[in-house]
Amino acid sequence: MTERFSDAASRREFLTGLAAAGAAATMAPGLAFGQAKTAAKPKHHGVIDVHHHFWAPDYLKAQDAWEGARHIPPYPGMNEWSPEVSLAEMDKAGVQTAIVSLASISQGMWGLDAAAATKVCHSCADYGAKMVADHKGRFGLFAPLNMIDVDSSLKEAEYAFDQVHADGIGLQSSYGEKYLGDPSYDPIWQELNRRKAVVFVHGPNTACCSAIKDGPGMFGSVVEVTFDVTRTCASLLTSGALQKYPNINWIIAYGGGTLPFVAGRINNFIKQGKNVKEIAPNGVANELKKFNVDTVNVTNPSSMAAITKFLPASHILYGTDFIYFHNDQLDELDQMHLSAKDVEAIHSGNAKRLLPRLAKA
Amino acid sequence: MTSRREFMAAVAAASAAMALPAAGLAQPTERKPAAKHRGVIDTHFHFWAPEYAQLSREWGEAHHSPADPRIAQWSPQVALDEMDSGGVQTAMLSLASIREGFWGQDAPKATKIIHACDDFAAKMMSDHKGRFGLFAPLNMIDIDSSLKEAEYALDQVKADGIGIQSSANGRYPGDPYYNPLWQELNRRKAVVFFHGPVPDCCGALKVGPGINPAVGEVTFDMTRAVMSLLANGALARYRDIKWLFAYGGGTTPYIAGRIEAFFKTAKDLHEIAPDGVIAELKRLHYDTVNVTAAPSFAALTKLAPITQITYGTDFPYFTNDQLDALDQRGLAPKDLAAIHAGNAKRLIPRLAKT
Repeated sequence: MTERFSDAASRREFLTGLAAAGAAATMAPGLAFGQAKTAAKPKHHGVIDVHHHFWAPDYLKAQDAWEGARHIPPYPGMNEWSPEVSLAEMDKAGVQTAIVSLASISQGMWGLDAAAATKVCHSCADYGAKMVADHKGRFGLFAPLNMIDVDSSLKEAEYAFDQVHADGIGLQSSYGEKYLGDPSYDPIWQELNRRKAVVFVHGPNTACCSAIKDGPGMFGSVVEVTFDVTRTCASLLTSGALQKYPNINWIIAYGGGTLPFVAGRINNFIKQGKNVKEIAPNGVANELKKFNVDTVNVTNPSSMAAITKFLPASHILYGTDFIYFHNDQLDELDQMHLSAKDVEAIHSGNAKRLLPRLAKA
Repeated sequence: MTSRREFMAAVAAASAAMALPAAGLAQPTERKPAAKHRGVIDTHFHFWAPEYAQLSREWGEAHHSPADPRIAQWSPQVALDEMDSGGVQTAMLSLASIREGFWGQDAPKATKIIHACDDFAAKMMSDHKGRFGLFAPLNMIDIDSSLKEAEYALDQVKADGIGIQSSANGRYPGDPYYNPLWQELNRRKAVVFFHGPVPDCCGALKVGPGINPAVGEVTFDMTRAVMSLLANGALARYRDIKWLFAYGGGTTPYIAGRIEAFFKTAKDLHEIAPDGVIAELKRLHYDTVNVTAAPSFAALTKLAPITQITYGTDFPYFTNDQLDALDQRGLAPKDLAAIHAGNAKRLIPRLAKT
C-alpha cells in the first residue's frame, strides 16, 4: 500500500487506534524481528514478491522532508526499515525473492526539479543494487525514473539497466498531471520497448485526490491509488502506447487497481470512438489483456472472480505491498480455488518468465 | 399493458418499411426487431424537464462544456420507444450527472428547478400509467431545503424514492451534515439511488485522448460515496434505507477486499460494520449499468446476492443492448428474472401491483 496518511489528524487518529488495539507489535510482524520467536517452517517456498518496497536513505530523506514540512508523521516502521526487516518477513513466509521498488511519492517527485529528482533516483538505484549484491538471490530491483524530464529519465534508464543491472523499471501511475500515456513519454517507451523491459506501475499520492477524505480515519490513498493506476491503464490504451510498444511487460499494482471491473465500461465508451481501430485493432479487451497485474489486496473472492475472467493466470504475479501489507495474502491466495499449476505460476513461474535472471538464481 | 406492448411491437415491426427515424438517437436507422424480453424494470433511466435541460445547457455554455446532443433529442416518446424496443415495462426516472453542486445555483433556485422536475416526472407517470417511476432529486447543497424537497417529492408527488449524486461540491453522502436527511429517509424506509457525476476534483484530468472523464471518474466517485457512508457509520445507523448504487457500485465489488483490509484496524469497526465490512457491502443494492461484461459481473455477483442487483441502462447514454449482454452471463432463469424485475418490485412494491 501507499502513503496511508494524507493529513496529520487522520494519521494520529490511526496511530491512536493501533495503540489501543495493541496492534503495534503485531501489525508488521517483520518489524518485530528483534522480538520474534523462532519461526515455524513456512507453508510456502520459492515465492517471488513483485510488489515490495524499500527505503533507500535518499528516498527516506526526501519523503521525510516533504511530510515534515506538512506536519505529517511518518508511517510507522518506515524509518526503521532495513533489508533485514524485509528478509525476516520473507523468510517467515517462504518468499525467496522480493523485487523492490519505491513506495508512493507525493507531488510528482516531491516537487523536486528533474536534476534533484534524478539524484534521488540514482542513489535509490545504487542502494537497491547493493541489496541485490549483498543478499544473493533474495532481491531484485525495479529502478525509478524521474519522469519529469525525458532526457535525464532516459539516461537514468540506461544507468539502471546497463550499470546497475536492474530487473526492470518501477514507476508511479502519474506524475503531477501526466499519466503514462502522455505523448511526451513516447521516447521512454520506445527505449523500454527496445529493451523488452518490465515496467512495474505503482500508485502515488495524487494532487487531484489524495486529500479527499471519505470519512473519519480514512485517507485518500486507501482507494485513490487503485483509481489512479486504472486511469494510467486507460491512458496507455487510448494514447496507443499499449498497441505501439508490445514488448514492454507492464505489471500493474493492486490487481490492476480497478481495471478488471471497469474494463467492460471502458470498452463500451471507446468502441464507438473514432480511433478505436488504431489503438485497439483487435478490440479493447485484447489490448487490455496485455497488462500483467499483481495480487495486492485482490486475494479475495470478488476480486479474483473478475481477474480470472479478465486475464489468464500467466498474467498474475504475487505481490505484498510490504511494509504496508504482508504475506498473509499468500494464505488468502490459497483459498481462491485456483489450480496448483496456476498458483505455482502466480507464486513464481510468471515472474521467472518475465525476469529470466530469477529462474537461474 | 400486455396488449399495448404487443401493439407497440407490431407498430415497430410494421414501420420498418416506413423508415421512421431511429428512436431519437443518432444511430444507424436499421429498425430494431420486436423485443426479446418483457416486463423488465430499468432502475437507471434519465429524464429532462425543460427547465432542467435549459439550466444544464446554460451551465455547459458558460463552462465551455458542450451539452450532449442526446439531451436535446430526449423526450418522453423517445424514452418509451427505447423501452418498448427493449421490452422494458417501467423505467425509474432520475436526473443524470449534475456539476458544481446543483449547476452552481443557490438553494432556492435549485428547489424551484427540482420541483419542476418532480412535476414533469409526475405528469409522465400519469400520462403513461405503469411505464414510469421517479427517484426524485434533492439539491444536496443545503440540508434544510433538501429535506423539504424530499417531503414534497415523497408526499405530494408520490415519488418512489430519492435519486441523488455520489457527491455534491466535493461533499460525500456520509458527511455528518447529511445525517438529518438520512434520519428522515430511514424513518420512511426510502429507496435512495446514487447516480455518478464527474466530481469537480477530477473532470479536468487529462487521462488520454478520447477518454471521456465519465468513463472512470464516475465509478471512482461512486466508490467514494459507498466508503463515505460506511466510514461515517451511516450504513450501520440507517438500516431501513435501501441504498442503490449505480454502475454495480462503481468499483466497490473489485476493491471490497482492500477496503476490508484497511478497516481491520479501525477502532470503531464494530460500530460502523457490526458484522464486518463485506457484510455491510452485501446489504447494499447495485444496478447493472456497464457491468454486464463477464469479469465485472463475476465480481458483482460474488460480492452481492442476486437479490441485491437491479437492471439499469443509464439511458440515453447507454441502451437496452445491455439486456443481451446480461443474457450471456449464464444466470439461472429465476435469477435473471429477479434482476430484470423481481428485485425492483421488492424495492418498490407499487410496481408489483401494476
